[in-house]
Amino acid sequence: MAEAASSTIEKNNLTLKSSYGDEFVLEESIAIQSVTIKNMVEDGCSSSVIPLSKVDTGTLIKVIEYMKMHSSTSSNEEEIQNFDKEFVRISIKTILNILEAANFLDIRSLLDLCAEAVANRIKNKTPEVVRKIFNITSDFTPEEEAEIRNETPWAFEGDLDHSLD
Amino acid sequence: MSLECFTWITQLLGSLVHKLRHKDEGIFTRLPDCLIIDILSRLPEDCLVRCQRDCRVWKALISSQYFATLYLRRAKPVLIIQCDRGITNHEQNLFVFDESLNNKEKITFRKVLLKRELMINKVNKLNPLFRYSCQGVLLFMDVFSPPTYFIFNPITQEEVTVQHKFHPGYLCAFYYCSLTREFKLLYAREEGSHECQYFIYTVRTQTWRKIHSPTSNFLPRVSPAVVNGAVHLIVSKDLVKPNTPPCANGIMVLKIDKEELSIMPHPGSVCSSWKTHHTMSLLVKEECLSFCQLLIFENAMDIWILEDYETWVWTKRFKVNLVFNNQGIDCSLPFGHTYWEVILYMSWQIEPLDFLEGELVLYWYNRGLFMYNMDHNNLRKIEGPQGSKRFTCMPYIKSLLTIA
Repeated sequence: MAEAASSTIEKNNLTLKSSYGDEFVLEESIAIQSVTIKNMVEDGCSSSVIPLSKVDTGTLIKVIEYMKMHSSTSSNEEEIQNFDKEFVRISIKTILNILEAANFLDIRSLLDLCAEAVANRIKNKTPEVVRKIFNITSDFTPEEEAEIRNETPWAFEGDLDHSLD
Repeated sequence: MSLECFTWITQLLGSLVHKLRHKDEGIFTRLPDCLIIDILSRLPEDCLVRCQRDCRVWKALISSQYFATLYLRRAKPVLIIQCDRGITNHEQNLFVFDESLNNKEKITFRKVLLKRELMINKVNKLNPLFRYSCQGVLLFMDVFSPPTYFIFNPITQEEVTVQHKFHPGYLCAFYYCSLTREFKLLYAREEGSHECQYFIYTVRTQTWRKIHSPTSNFLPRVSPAVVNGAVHLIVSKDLVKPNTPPCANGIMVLKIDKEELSIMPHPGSVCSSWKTHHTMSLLVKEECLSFCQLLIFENAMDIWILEDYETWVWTKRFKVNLVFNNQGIDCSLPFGHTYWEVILYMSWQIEPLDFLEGELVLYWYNRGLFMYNMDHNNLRKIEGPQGSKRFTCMPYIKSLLTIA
């Protein structure tokens, strides 16, 4: 009961702590876009600092920026669309970090935005680059690779992008 | 003791080396599988096929039925067109309406690249007829008797040839059972002069099943509409009462999971002849069964929507105005001019194909493709691939579903 009262005095603010130990204070109404945080609040574990051991500081700043924009009542649909477009104009590595954070924090719209952005970025990339981005190694023999190529010739037409970003 | 220590040190070194190498290999860490699947399911099909050669796990994942279903859910319905391939060309001339280049003024079509070895390229000089398109899988028919069917997925380039040993009747539907993940064919066979039997052929298992029907005197037409877990077909004829239009039994319904047939009435008034049933077609509009009736002498088409599937309540929702550039339907025929001859001929010429983003797609023989905007009531012409006017067009959705 005392806890509930104290959080009202603090205008229902929550403190999120990144994996680097940096703390960010955020209004509860904004933070609960994350289903994970919402559940924690409902379970009454929001009185203290919420540790996000899987989210680093840089990523958390971006996620908070996103949540603030998407809970703002003053911005219209077009502004939000433009914000989203600009939001993912960052390195693919950063998008992947945000994607993981969105998955952990369970923010569906952010997850969709990032997954779509990654798909857009990699769709014209060479298999070699795609492997690097997803950190996987090829376990096919050159013969097997050639066979896959031969089965679907149409997929290997046109120029592909060799750059990582 | 020293041996244990040695093993321990080697392990430590090993993990250190691994960690260092890991770091060195790139800035990228491994994503959880659920996120990799999410990203892959958003990729265009050419990229997905390239990703198949990234590693065995990905190939297995992308080839799985689970992924195919997920991918199908995200895919956007488009159109696919088969053009005359000409005498010199040995390949099928297939085009997909290209959504990436789509703008309101001009729709472009992208040619489907095919493996040389495919049977649909090899069969006789005439085009095999392009008959059905279902969940990204196409069915072609070689017209020579006994009919041979080529079932083909343009994305995976998987092709299955079906040739039956006994004559099963005529093919009236090609559909996909999502429960068993199998493609199936529905046949109707006239037995004597008053009876009809219905058979289902499962492509994967190559097995037949005769299906039970409460009535066995109705001949269905051959353009199915699949919605609500059932295949719907217009009934064209009652074999017992050949001169009475089967209006009260106008729509045949096949429940896909139970493989049970039932008969329902078609909407609208009772027809004056069974021939009127040739002016009717069934489509699917926003997950609802839709009934289209061509009114040739009114230059129009009525569109009904099945508002309540359980109680079979229909509403006449739209009247499509078939006038393009001040020209209505040209009803002059090269031969006879009786009322019913005109009706039958014109119903064959004008065919509603699909609802695409709220627009009705029509194919008008020798005139081309038309799109009718239901909100603005305007009919616009779509340039066919290579300026062609004579082709076969079907709704299409890119999919990775396997056939066999």
